[in-house]
Amino acid sequence: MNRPALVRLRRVPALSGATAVLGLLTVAWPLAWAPAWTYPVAGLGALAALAGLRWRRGPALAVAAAVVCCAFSVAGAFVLAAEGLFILAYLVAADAPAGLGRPGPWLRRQAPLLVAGLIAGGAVLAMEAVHLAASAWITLAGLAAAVAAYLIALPISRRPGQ
Amino acid sequence: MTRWHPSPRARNLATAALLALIAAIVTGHAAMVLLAAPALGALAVMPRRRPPDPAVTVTLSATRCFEGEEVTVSATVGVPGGRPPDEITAELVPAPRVALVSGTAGQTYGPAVLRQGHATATWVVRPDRWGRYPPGAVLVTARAGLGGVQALIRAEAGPLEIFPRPARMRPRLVPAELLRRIGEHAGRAAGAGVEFAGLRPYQPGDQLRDVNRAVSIRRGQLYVNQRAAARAADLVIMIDAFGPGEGPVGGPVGGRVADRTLDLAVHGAATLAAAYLRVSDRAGIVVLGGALRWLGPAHGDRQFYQIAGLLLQARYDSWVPPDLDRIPRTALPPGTLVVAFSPLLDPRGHAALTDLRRRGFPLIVVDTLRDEPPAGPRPAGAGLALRLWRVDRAATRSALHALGVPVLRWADDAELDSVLAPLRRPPPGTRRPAVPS
Repeated sequence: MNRPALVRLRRVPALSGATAVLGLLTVAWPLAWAPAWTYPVAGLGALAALAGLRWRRGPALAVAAAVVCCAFSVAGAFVLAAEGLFILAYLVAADAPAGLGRPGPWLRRQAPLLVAGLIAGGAVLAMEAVHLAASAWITLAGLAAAVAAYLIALPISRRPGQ
Repeated sequence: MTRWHPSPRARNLATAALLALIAAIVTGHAAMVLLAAPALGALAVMPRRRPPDPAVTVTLSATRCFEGEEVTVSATVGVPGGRPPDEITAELVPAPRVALVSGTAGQTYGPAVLRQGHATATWVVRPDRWGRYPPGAVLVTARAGLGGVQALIRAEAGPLEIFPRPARMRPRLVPAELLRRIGEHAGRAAGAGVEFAGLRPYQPGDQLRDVNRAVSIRRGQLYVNQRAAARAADLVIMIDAFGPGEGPVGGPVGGRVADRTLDLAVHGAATLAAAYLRVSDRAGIVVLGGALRWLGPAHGDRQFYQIAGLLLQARYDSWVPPDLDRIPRTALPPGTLVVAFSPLLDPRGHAALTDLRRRGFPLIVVDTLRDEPPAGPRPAGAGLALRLWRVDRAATRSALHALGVPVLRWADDAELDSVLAPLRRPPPGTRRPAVPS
């Protein structure tokens, strides 16, 4: 089946506004701790966040800009943990389907994702608190988690009869 | 078989986590893992089990309609037993020249609805262009696994037959010789119609109500009014579907111009057919271009729909010249008034019209060409070619005039009734319109 180019992320206006605000917050949050040269990057990220209301690649670009700003900032662990949650909430909200009559039930169905993100962020924050920050094991664990996430996201093979 | 694949949400989350981890490695800033952790946690809780494939059925409230009429499109998404998807979004992508009248383009249904086994989305659309085509495609997006996987299903309804909407007009153009059948046109012979035809002296058996008192008093003897017989007429509509895209003009502009001339011809044919069939006349059609198709004159609503159905097939292209000898006598009875819609561009169409006239049919040609080639920006030196083209068209019109065929130009924003109006003026000394016989 051809992937139609007509798939657009259309949301109800209330949720669209909240999504845009979350996107701008995600991009602007690390700026207080970031060097001045990252401001143009953040500006591009903000544009991508606004364009994300109609452009499906906008959210990913906004998040990329936010990650760049964070990478070169002097933000602390709590700031980065909050940024991670903002990113998760923004990406979930940006994926809301078209034609949602009432966003309430849909938002409730997304709660498990946010809870899982909160737990994961809290776990890593706890590891930070026990002074394992200098260890390469955390990085290794993150890489392993990334590999696991990609394995989960890979297309599921289907056997005949399934 | 439906193919499930990672949704944009899963891909975005994975991309964000990967970027954060790469940034952690590149900058040596281990706390960057905190950016990736929530996204990875969300990815980890997404279930990997694939739900049963949904089945999509698209139906239309009608299989045929006129331009501008509203049709309801319904898409029923059936969810087989087992765990239903998290949500299903049905989006209607209308075909070109089809307007969405009511119903949001994308309609989303959650688990509460899907647990019932099916969800139905409806839209009301209005096709504005005649033809036989599906009014749109329904794109169903099913999401499962907390939005981690999705399936895209595209479904289309069967083709909808959209007939050209006939404009209102009165069938006042009739051939000189009418059929010996009761109709609504005033014939030459005296009869039981309603139109005044003349006076004659009273004869035994005449009804008293026919006595013309004024004339009788003036002349001193009884005179009675004569009335014209009410007769029916036969009309054959001819469409020259040889477009400039196939003919001598050619080029990329040709297709668009051909589309416009054919559009005008089809609407004109529908208008004429509806007007004449409404007053118990008989109407038939001949389509030149592509395969030669015809429908003999008949009357009634059924005939109108058969003509409209034939009009929908007028878009097929062919290089075969039309051979009028193939048309049976019943489809083109002698003496039938023929109204031809033609852009007068293709020599095959012109030859067919000439042939028809030489066979003695009363013929009227309505010129459907409103554009001059080339319609786009003209290259240098094209002025001479354009003048030659105009001279050529004038020669074509003159040749038809010489044969006694009136050629009427259908100008922009003109109704067909007003286009045919010059032929309704009776020439001096006759009561009959000036259609050559």
